[in-house]
Amino acid sequence: MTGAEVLVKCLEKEGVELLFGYPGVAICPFFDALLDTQIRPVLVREEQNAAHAASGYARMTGNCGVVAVTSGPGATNLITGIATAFADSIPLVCFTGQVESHLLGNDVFQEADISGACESFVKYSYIVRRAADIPQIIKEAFYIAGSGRKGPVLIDLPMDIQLEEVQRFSYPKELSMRTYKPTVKGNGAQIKRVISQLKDARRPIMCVGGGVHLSGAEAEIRRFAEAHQIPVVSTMMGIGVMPTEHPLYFGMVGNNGHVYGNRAMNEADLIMMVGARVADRSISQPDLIMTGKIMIHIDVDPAEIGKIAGPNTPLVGDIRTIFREMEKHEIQTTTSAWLRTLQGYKTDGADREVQNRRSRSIKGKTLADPAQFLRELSLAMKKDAIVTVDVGQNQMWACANYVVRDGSFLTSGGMGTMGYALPAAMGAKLACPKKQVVAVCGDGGFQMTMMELGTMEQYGIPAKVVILKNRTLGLVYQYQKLRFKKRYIVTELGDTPDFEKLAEAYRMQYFHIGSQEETQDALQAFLADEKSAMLVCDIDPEALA
Amino acid sequence: MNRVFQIIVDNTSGVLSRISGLFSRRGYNIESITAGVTADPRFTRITIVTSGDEGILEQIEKQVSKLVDVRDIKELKPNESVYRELCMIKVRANAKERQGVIALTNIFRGNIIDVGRQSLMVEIVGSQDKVDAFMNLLDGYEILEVARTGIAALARGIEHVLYIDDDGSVSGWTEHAKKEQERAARELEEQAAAEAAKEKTAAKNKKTAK
Repeated sequence: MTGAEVLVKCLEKEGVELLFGYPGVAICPFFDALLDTQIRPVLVREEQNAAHAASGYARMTGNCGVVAVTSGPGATNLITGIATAFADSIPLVCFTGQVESHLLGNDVFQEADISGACESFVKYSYIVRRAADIPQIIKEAFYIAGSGRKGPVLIDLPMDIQLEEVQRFSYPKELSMRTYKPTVKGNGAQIKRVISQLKDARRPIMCVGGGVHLSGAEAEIRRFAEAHQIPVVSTMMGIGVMPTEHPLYFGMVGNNGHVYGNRAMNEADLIMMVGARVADRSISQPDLIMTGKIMIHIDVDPAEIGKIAGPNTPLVGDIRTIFREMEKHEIQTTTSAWLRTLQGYKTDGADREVQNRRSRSIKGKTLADPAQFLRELSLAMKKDAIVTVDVGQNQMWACANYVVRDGSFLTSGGMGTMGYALPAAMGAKLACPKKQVVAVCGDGGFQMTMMELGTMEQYGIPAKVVILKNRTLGLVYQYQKLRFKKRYIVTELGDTPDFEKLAEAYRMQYFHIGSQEETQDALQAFLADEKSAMLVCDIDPEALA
Repeated sequence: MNRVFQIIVDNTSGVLSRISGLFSRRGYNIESITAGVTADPRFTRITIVTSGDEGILEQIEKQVSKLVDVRDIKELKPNESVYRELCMIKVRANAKERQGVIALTNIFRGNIIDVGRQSLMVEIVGSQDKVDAFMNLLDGYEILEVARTGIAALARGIEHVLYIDDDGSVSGWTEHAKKEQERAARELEEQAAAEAAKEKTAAKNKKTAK
């Protein structure tokens, strides 16, 4: 049995059904061994997209996404994808081929020190030195990637190790790692403290982040908020924890968030940060959430607690486990007056939004309004549909206007990686073949990963792609407009390719929205069937996000 | 003010670069870093001298703890620990100047470890203050080269000793003592049980023999 055969057997034991990859000589033994298994490899068109696709897959299945690429350029192309997953704590196990062990360090053909290069954005990395170590390493890798604060793990596989003969195979049943023991259960005394602080609070609020999704605690959070009538805001990564139109949900906070959401945070007397990092884009003034308030920070990663703002009550553990524990306690809260105030803010904000929209349309613009379009798109999609959103203006509009009902909202938050949406949509569709999956991109981000239309066609992945077309890199264009007095440079995309022909080339259906009036009909046709389709919506390059 | 951290890590390849990489990319200061294997060859002890405000020191502890290879990190407070540094100093000294350097070295309980026609090499071991003081006193001489190891440190007494069990759990002295007591009690019980069983079989054998 070779090392590669041992490796794929381990993957089978871990329940891997699908992986994303791109071959090269240095990873060939691995792919060869894959032929004799049930594991399906998906050949992407560029390595970075393998990681994004695996990320979409991991976020929808809750399991680790698996990636396999070759050494050198294959591995370095993967770096952005790994860093993106790391920033959003997405569990991936990434295999990279490597030159033969005895050649390591000699700068031979397609050699790159990938474990060194990725050191600061993997949760852990291995360079395999003996084929006999493979089972233990794989067991550890999946455990590390998928537990505690999740994240990518890299395994570098020298060619000779993949070919090395191993006498016998046994996969470790249990794992006891000497140094790695994440906290799952919340400290009982701290939980009691949280409960008593909640009892005393008059204006409590929960701010939920991506950690809630990663822990699979959406239902627990909803139940808790409803049972105690606690209002909820979210960070960008926390969108979808609460349905957008839930009466207790007050939108996204942060620079690009809802005014009423930020106002709610500022006026609260108790903030529960749940699975959120207090990141700069969501909390731009961390002092503000500390002054005159009680702050409770619940996170699985103790290092996030107190990194930016020192909480009054830290609580380390898995969010789902903690909220299941908290449900057992009796809490009396009287928040009806507080909720009325927040509802008032929200209605005001919504009214202003409608007025803005009206004044925009009065100006006689016939192009579709992107904010309005995203709202209509979300309402036309199935209730449990998955949307993947790229980076830039489209992301800002989507965060503010997309209505999540029972579905999921996936985007690249921490790293803000353009081109994430399309490959992530492929991964999500492969994870949930029965669900409707739509990628929302700008014409800039789309052109970064449009080669993946090839993958979609080859494997028959019927994801749908929306392109907001303004012929600019909108968010930076907008920045140059406001900050650099309209001195535009490298933000205009020219005429952009003929997307209709591109859709035809990849045998996709094509739809187009040239004006506001065409929106509804085009959306109906675009979403009508289960085939892959492209919808291009022309928008005004001067529209601000 | 400088703080000293003791970090116990698994002896894996790349572990030192993971630790030093973490310090550099998060902008933590490293005054000195030393590493060496512990009494148990599976582990390495790293001693890092760093500085920063309370918030940074807390982050250092948390971020280092997060690394998969790290078993334990602890601050070694000055009043509860002993710090030592070894320093080698090459001083330019001709035959006339030699005696002065040797006298100073003796006062500091250092050793002369090499003598050349025009130079002396002094080895001095002590706290960083002592080494600094010695270097200051060498003011009148030309110092040619200096090699300092950075400090190694241990907590005083038995209370701070860390025990790492075979299953990898780290326990302090009191916890370990308790575990040992429990183990001893368990062994006694097992022994008693084994003896009882032996007697039983012996009695049985007697019976059958009858």
